[in-house]
Amino acid sequence: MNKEIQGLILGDEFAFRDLVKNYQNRIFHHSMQILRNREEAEDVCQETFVQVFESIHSFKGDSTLSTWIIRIAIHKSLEKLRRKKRRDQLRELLPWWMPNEENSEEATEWNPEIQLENKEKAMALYHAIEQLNPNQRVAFTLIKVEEMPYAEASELMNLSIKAIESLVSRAKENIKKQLK
Amino acid sequence: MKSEKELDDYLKTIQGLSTWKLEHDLTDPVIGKIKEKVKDQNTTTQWLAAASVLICMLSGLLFLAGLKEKQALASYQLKEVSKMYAINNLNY
Repeated sequence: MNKEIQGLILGDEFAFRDLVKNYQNRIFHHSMQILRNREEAEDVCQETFVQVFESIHSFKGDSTLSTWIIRIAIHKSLEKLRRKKRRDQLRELLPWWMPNEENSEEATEWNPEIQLENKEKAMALYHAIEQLNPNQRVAFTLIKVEEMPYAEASELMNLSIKAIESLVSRAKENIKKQLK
Repeated sequence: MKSEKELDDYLKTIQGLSTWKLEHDLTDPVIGKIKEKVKDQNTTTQWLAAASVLICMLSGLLFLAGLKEKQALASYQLKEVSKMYAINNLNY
């Protein structure tokens, strides 16, 4: 077991500070790609580190520390998406129940690097991705948007490569229908 | 429904963009959150320990009260038996 992990297990604050410094932007990037909401992505970052602190004793070293941490972050992002979806459904059913809830569309942030002439297409695609169910959305984002290898995405989502392929294929069909 | 090629055209508009970056460092808030959590856990543990001690004391008191009650009952029974015995002896 390397020094970094040993420090974390022993509860060394400096080791943990280093870990946060090294991983915070990577976690934020992945969460932002999935959630596209800065506030929620920051929450995911914080929750991920708290989870890492609580579960570091159970880290067996089957994967690298970075894969393990990003997997936690993706799991947290998925949880957030599912919760948001449930809240949206509830708001649709009972609008008087949560009248002052912020509209998720308004809080969505677009990558500032998207070129002006591509903006319309990018928006349409983002909107279609948002309509997918959480698992399809994450798989599609990792494979098609982040262009990650299937093996890596499978490790991060804790699913088989076949399951990821199936999720991406279904996501593509749904997106094509949305974009018609 | 769009074709595969059209979907690829859409995808090209959002692929290869730079990575998202945090606007501020999260180290201090995260460390603060963890310290708060540890403190909460310690407080919970202390409360649980105090509650356990209290429950033990209450059980002890109940046990002692039961024991005392038993002794009182036994002496009362003994007294009653001896009374009966005395009455029986008088009858004879």
